[in-house]
Amino acid sequence: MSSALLQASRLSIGYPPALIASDINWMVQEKEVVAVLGLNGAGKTTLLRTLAGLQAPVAGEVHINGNNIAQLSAQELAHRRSFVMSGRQHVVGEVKVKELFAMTQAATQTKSVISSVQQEASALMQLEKFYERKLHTLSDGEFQRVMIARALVQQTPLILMDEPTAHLDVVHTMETFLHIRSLPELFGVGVVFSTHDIEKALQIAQRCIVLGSKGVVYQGSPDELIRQQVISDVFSSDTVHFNNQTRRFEYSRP
Amino acid sequence: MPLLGLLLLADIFLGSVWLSPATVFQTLFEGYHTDSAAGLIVWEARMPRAVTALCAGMVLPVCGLMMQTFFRNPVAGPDILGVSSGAGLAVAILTMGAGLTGWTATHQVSLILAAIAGSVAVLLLMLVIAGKTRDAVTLLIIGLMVGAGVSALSGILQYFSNRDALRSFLLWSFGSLGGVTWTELIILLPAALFVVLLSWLMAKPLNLLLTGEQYAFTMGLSVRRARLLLVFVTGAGAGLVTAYCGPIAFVGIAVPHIARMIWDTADHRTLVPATAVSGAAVMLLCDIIAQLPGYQTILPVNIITALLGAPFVIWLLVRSRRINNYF
Repeated sequence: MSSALLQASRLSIGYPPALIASDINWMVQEKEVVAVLGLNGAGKTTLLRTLAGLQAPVAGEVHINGNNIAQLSAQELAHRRSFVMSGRQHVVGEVKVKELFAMTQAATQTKSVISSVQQEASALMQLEKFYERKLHTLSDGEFQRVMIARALVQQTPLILMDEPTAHLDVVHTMETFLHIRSLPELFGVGVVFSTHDIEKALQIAQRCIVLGSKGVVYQGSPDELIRQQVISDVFSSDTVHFNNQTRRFEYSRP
Repeated sequence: MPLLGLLLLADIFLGSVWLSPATVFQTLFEGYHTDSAAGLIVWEARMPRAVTALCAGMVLPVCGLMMQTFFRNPVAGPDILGVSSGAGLAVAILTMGAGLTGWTATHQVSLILAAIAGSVAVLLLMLVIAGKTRDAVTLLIIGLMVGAGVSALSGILQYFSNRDALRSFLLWSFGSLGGVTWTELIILLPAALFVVLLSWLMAKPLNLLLTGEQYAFTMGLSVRRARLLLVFVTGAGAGLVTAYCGPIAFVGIAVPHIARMIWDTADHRTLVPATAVSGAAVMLLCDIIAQLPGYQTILPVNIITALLGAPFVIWLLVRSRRINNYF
């Protein structure tokens, strides 16, 4: 039996003793694009961090390619998944784009085939002319493209992205989603990304996991989730609702 | 590199007592001897002084570089985050505390070990505090407070200690390159080179830490191990130099930035040797200024490094406007 790219079994996440969601059973197949959706504080970042091994699960297990990540070293994990974090406060010290790529290669020791991947990733993200630029001089959109390209350079079968379109304007947001959708075909990777842009996520993701209130977790294809009223139930308020026909958010008429 | 050699020669040729270049040449070629005045000055004063400057100049800035990366703070340095004070307290306990109890501990190895222990202790303390605050400015202020607190403890010892012990401690605390003898250099020079080598071997983890501990982990770095190794290498380096030369300010903060500017890189594989070389050059330059010919006295080198370093750091901060933004 071939194992799934990513598998969560009876997974509970949170910061003990606080539980955010429990008993998640979930699978991501190879070359799949999966969106993690939920309101603010629903636990999207916690879920992604747990899947990446950045924090331990409260209970349950995460497997990547059949290996329990709790039993993998940092180095072994680095060959199996890469991460794109939200925001840009992480990198300090006037690092150049090419230096960031170089340190990623050096860290994961994937030199032989790397240059072609780096070239392809840079070409996709239109980064060739940024090689000599320092990261802190890039715009938010350029920075996000660099970080996605960096994750590709790490050459992992799985890329986790925490709100890759946060702080991006509408043009860069749409472009980033386009890139994410093209990654499985071009680079053979599976992508799990979280976002607040539910309308766009429903268009590009093959499947979604929705973190609802009180730790209820839904999953399915966008069509299923819309048909089962999950999106319109989870993401609604007195004044805002999701229109299942147009697949857009609207203001409710008073 | 050629500049470094030139400065090394200049440091030997120039000094508060004027010797003609010909005399210095002759003395150097005659080999080690101390039976003439020139021989004594060149071989027993200027040479060890220059080699000490080389050692201190390599090690302190490399420690500063590691601390800046590690604490994610452009103005981190051994003297800023209280590490030098930690070494100072340990030395104070040894030199003056020993006087109080009547136990004399002047053995240099115990002095070095004490200074290293003091540095590592403060670094570990700062590490714990750094885990609780993500803000670069807060960390700096806490570092200054820790430094002040630790210095106050030294102050208590000073207040109660006898005159001779106090005098030798105060002289040490001025920071000087002159007090190191050849027998001490036999330890200092290889140890300094070893610290620089270790730091260079840590270049890969240091590079990854520039992306933050979380990214570094996702790229395969065992963060906890790297953190401990860095603390011990940095503490050993800072403690070592501080034990021999006293607290020398500002080279630790300023030189890594000079290296970053000249070499235009953030890659520690280049930055560590670049910082060591620039640091040695800067230190020699400061030492030359400290003992300009024609004046009878030699100023403590700490005064020169502070005089040049303080405006440089201020310029650096003004240029980058905000610490958090720049780094």
